[in-house]
Amino acid sequence: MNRTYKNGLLFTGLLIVATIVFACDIVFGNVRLPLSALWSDDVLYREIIYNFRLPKALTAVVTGAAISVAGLIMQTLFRNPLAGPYVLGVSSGASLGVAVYLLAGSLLPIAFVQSGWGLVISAVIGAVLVLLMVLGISFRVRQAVSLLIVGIMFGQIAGSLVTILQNNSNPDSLKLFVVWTFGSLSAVSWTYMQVLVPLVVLGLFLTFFIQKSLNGLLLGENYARGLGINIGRTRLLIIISVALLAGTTTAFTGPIAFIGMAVPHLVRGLFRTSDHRITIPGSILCGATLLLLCDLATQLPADGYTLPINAISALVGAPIIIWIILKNK
Amino acid sequence: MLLQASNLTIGYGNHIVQHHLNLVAEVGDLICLTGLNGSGKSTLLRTLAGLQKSLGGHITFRGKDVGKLTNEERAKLFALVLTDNIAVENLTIHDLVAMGRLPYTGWSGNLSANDEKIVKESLAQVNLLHKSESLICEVSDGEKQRGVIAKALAQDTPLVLLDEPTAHLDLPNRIEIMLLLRRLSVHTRKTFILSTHELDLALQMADKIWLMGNDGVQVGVPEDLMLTGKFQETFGSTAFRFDETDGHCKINHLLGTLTVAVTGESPATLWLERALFRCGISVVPNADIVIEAHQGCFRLQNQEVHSIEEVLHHLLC
Repeated sequence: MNRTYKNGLLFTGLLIVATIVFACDIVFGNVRLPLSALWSDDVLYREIIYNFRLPKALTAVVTGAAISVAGLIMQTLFRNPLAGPYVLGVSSGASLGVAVYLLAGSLLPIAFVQSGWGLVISAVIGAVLVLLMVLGISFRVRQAVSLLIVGIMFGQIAGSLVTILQNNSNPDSLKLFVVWTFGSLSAVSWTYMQVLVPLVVLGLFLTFFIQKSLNGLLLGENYARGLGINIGRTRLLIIISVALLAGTTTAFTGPIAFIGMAVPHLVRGLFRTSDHRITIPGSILCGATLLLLCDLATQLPADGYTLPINAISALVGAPIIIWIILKNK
Repeated sequence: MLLQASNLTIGYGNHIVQHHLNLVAEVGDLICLTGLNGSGKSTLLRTLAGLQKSLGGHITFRGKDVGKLTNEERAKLFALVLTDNIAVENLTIHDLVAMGRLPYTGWSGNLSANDEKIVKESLAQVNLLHKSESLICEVSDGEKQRGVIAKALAQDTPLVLLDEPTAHLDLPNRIEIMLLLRRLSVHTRKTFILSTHELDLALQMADKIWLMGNDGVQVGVPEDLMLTGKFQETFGSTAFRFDETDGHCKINHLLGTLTVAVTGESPATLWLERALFRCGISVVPNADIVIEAHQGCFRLQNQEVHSIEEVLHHLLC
């Protein structure tokens, strides 16, 4: 009883913090707005808020939630605290797709190259291809840790191919590629949002659906099997969820480092539980809040200049992981 | 007959570990599975538990072929206690035991009032109610193992399989776990099959022993197996023997040429003889050197000393 009450209190607190940070993210930006802009009728304010700030803040919420939940279920699957949303090679696969598209793109029709969809589609194809290969192998290896190594190796292969492509490309496309690797939350327009949000929601729904199996997996695959959990099916659903959560968001925003690895640790510490019925919604709230905070931090420099989100998320996320390790000692 | 294995072949891939196994477990049995390293104790348990496929033969549960059960059905018949380390951050003993209810909960895994009641009862059966809100990383190894056993009890299965439940525990905890299993098998009428290297404990606690040698399994009550020399046969070695009177394992010490006679009161003479054997000194009734144990003292060659250490010092130096 006491625990339920405490959790309810924590969730309410987190929700309030998330709402405040969300409002801040809309108000603070490279053009300073008064707080009253949120409800003002001024056309310019509306334009900035509805077509720029709001989609960006929403992207931060959706992406932060998605990569945190993806990180959480990867840590459960691999029973490894250092697993994150990208361990199966999702981000390397996506960057290979983007690299092929941007750097070897001279062979593609101009119209395709110039539309934003080309970037997204190539990232999705890259991520999905790598995940499909990992998935194919997952049926052949029994141990989750072998799968982890396979994922890392695929990431390395994709990384090498990207390096080869970079070596042979012109400076302009190289710059475009490097900018993509910085990550960006502001590239998602309302049109993109119509694709991003449903896919992420579907991924989150899937993880809610398998929360019982995820709890069983905490004890290891043998105990989970002994509790009647179908390991093969659970593993398949986990990989599909990660494809939806991490694959889709990476395609739209670029890679965002360390948030997905750090948030599950924060949530487990905060709620003092590993129960996925708590940690999944907890990761959604904490992940969204943390990425919103990171986005706020990118606005810290003077007007008209922002920092790359991928660098900020690493600056925030990596110390959190070090702090957790020191705290546990 | 609860569980029956007939003509069972176990192993990995192409590697056969044991074949033609015929085993029976009855309701309420406490069965200790013991034997040499590599004789397939864990493989047998894992095969019975359905964690790996058998390479031939049949396992039936109340006459039903176990191989045809779904994971969910199996989870309601077999509960497992494995050697796999459970190292989960922020998992309370209560939540660990509640895992045992997973086969009975809906998709969300939420516990009903009845599930909670069973979790409480299971915790009470292993005397762990007071630790229910402690994290598993905070409790002792013995308490953690009792927690895992409580999880298996909460699973509410007629059969519990335990792979070396006393490994890594100190002596009081090993005995406590064995006594606990003994008590549970009497009170719950569940069948327990556990693998163990604790021969002494197994001999004193088990209803049946499955003794695994390199070629086949000897089955019987412990006393029969001891009386017919099956233990000596299976563990066959020149380095030790099983004492015919108490079943304890005795080391065959290499004896030198020195002989002494021991007279006096037990238990001093008993421990003195053990010390002499350990040092390779034979004890014979009419040797030249006589040691007399009397009221806490030892007399040898007209000298009186007060400890076995001093006796040995006199004899060997």
